[in-house]
Amino acid sequence: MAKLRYAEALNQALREEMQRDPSVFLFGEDIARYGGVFKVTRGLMDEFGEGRVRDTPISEQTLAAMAVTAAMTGTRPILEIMYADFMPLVLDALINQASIYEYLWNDVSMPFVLRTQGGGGAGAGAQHSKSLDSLVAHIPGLKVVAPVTPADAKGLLKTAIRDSQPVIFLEHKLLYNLRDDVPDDPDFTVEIGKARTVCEGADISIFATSRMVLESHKAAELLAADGISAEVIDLRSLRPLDLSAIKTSIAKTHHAVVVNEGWRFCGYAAELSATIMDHAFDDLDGPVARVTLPDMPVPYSEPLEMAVLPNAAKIADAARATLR
Amino acid sequence: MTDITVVGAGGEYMESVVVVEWHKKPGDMVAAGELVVTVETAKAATEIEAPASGVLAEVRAEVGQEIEVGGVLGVIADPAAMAARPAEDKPAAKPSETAAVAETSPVATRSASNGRVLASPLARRIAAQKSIDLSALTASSASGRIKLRDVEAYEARSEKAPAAQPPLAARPTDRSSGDSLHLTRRGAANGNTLVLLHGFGADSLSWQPLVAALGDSASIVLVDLPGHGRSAKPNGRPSIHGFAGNVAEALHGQGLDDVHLVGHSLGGGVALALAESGAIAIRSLTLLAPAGLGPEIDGAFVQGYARATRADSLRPWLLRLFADASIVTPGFVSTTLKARSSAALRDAQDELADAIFPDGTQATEFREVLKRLAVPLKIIWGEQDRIIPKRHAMHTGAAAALHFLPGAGHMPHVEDPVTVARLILQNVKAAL
Repeated sequence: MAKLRYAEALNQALREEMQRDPSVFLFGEDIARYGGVFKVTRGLMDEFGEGRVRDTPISEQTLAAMAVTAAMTGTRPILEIMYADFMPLVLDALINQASIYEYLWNDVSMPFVLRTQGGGGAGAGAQHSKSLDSLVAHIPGLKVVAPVTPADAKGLLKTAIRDSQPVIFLEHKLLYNLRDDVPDDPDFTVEIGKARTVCEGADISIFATSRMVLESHKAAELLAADGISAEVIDLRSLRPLDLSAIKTSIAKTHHAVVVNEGWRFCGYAAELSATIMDHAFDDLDGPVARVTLPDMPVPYSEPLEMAVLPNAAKIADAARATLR
Repeated sequence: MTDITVVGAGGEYMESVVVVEWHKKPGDMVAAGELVVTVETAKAATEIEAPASGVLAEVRAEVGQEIEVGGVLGVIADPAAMAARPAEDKPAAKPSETAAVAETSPVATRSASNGRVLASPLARRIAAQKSIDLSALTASSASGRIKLRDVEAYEARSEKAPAAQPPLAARPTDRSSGDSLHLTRRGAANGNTLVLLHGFGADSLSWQPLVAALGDSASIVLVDLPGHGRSAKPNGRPSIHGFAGNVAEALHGQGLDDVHLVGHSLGGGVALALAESGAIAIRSLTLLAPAGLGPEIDGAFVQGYARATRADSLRPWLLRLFADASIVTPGFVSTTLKARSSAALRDAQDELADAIFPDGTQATEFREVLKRLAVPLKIIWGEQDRIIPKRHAMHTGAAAALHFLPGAGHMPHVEDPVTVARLILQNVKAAL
């Protein structure tokens, strides 16, 4: 067990899987010579050569079509889209090709991973700060994961690479420097579809995704000061969702807050909230509270950006309100 | 301002009533539909519910005072208007109370708009399981919504003072005791009488979802069988025929000798024994997964359920009762466990199981009885019953309508109460 940064844990996962399976290869903008803008692919071109770690032009539509066709023809491509904000450019490949070819033709499998990073809090402005989780989680036939810890980053990426379905791998720009224990066992993986309990609690369940898990954990500490015992669940897998973990937690606490950094209207938090009502309505002792970005662009100005992003204080307030 | 008037009391022969008790004092918040005052006629006490939500502003008829039918008993005011009025106009409200009233007024208005009580889904479910009337509760939180803690607080108060607030029925007049068995009256005040007999190890509360689905379509009598719920354990060796005798006696004690019978599982066997005895005139018979139509029964369930003392040992048996495992939530398990917390009750039921289902076998059989019955008969069975095999319904030789409910296990009245209610009412109608 070594302490690694989140970006290093991802790098380790890529290296191990490329060593394990010669059909795994990487491509994307600035990922080879430059090692990726967040240094996730650093050193891999030197180790595996330009054939398996490729720089590409800026043309996300083409890249997505490459991923689909390469996966269909027997390789395991890993595509990096530099910012989640540009996911709309690859949606046609995801919606009309990747997610349905296996349904249309029995003998097709689609083992590719699309890595991207999103989220605000870095002063990156309205075109580079979005969380578009719901755009991809909406599509049946795709798996969508969003690890928060370095260990989960490594374990989920390895599982995603070995999966025969397309997996959208959502990273967050403020997580890359997070340092924590990461198992060095090359057989270490994390199952897709299983949530992680960050801390146990008795009064309210906070279900969060990506960086919002860290804010929710801070919120639990704020709530503890008020004598409120909050349980924080890191969903890890946005689709498929760990329904059993959600139901078990609500059966215990009877209250829920859902937290997602994306927009509110038709957002991932809305889906979570409706899912909870579908499956745990009679266990609810208060309304499900939603904490999200308001329906607006992420401002460039730092004070304004901080004002609109969901944070621990807002999550704690929402928890107190639903407990009233 | 809304007047509380004398309506629905007295009946056609009475011109006046006497005020027996005010359940609210001036200054108290009331919700539409909440009990505010009890009045008495020559024959009976009648409870008058608040016609609107707000503050009880004025009591015009004091206890003991006689008042004409149609007269004004008191006045309910809009809390905001009350707060705006000068202090001397407010009869009993101290200034501090007025402030509180003004603060909570939007909440009261919300619950008032259609008279529906605001309650969380969990509070609603637990209250239904315990037959607690939500309108008898007060919300303790700023949201104005009744939450689990309010139900628990009400229950704790009721346990402390059982005489003052019976925990299992909101309206004391709904309850009555037969000579030996505990009976609970629900539904409409008159009309066709439906007598519901529960299954082994259950009690009257197990009918709650069905009672809700039946609404006011009939007058409903829930019987706690001997050694179940709040009825004492039977004298001597328990038997299905003995239980039928106890039920007949209890119904006679209430002047009920002409009824529609519904029996579930063991209660179905008791219903058949009652029909055989002829002690009560039975208009129609609806049997839900009844005992008495064949020898098989899940003996391990009967024993395991009767003896379970912990959630871990009770839960697997509860799961076997239902087709849909999601019904058996931790809350459901703990509520059932609580209802079975008395060692005396468990011992009595264990003994009963041994007498009625010796060696895991149904010792008593009623197929011949069923064949002879000339009233409308229905047999309802869950397709996924794992306690008594549904094929028992198939070869009775009786002219009974059979209904197999998909998605239901041994508890069709809990798993699909709406369909079961509809079928029971069809059977009742067929008898008219």
